[in-house]
Amino acid sequence: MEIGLKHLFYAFAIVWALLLGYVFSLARRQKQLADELENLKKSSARRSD
Amino acid sequence: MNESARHRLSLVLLAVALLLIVSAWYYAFLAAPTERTMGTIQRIFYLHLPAAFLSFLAFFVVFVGSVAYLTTRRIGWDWAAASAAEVGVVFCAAVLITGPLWAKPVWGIWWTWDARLTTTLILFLIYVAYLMLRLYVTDAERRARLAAVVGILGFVDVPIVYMANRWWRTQHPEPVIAGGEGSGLDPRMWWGVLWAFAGLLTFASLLFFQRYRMEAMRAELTQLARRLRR
Repeated sequence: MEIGLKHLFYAFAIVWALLLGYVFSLARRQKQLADELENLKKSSARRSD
Repeated sequence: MNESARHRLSLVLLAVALLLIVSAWYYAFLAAPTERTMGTIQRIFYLHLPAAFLSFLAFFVVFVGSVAYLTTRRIGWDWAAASAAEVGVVFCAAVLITGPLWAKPVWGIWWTWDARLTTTLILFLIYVAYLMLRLYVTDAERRARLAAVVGILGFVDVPIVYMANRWWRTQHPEPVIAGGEGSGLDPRMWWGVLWAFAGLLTFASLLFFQRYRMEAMRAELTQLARRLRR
């Protein structure tokens, strides 16, 4: 493969992997927060019963 | 905004971003002419330049959010600044990755400590430090205040990065957009840049809104935990 083409491929592949990685990290952190929030809401409801 | 409306908006933003990005790829790989001196490798430009402008824009949002937080003390501005900083760091990392991959076949080296490259690396490190500061300060109000100061001072580097290859002789090429005489782009190259910028901007907006939502959830969690402890 021509050297320029190889570097072009790496650039696009790495940057899209980085962006996808960030999307997954956001989704994972959001899910973690949503679960914690849900648990706290449940304990809060149990307390008020 | 309720949960289902938020979900719908996210899907619409994602669809628009994908459509624009596919159009950008069409222009970048098929419609735009191959640059005469550099050849195929120059097509990194359609990722490198929009990512650089997006990181500048994100850091400008950090600056505005920081100033607005210090003047109004409304925590929403701090959330906006934090969200923009994280998105900006991701795009600045993209610039620092694509730059050396472009440099190696053209200059024969991966990196050199010239003004444009060095100030860009400093910019990246400033906002990584901003995010680290947010992790280490636990008190929300103190965190927002300190981060706002860093967010304002850190932005000083953005115009320096932009002007670096105008003020100093650098290894980095002269600007092709808003440069001096003889600069400019083929109209088909312009379309590639514009579509790529629009696509990445829409995608970055989606990331920003999702990150902002995380800050709101974290605040709700802290409040609820505090209420339960009482």
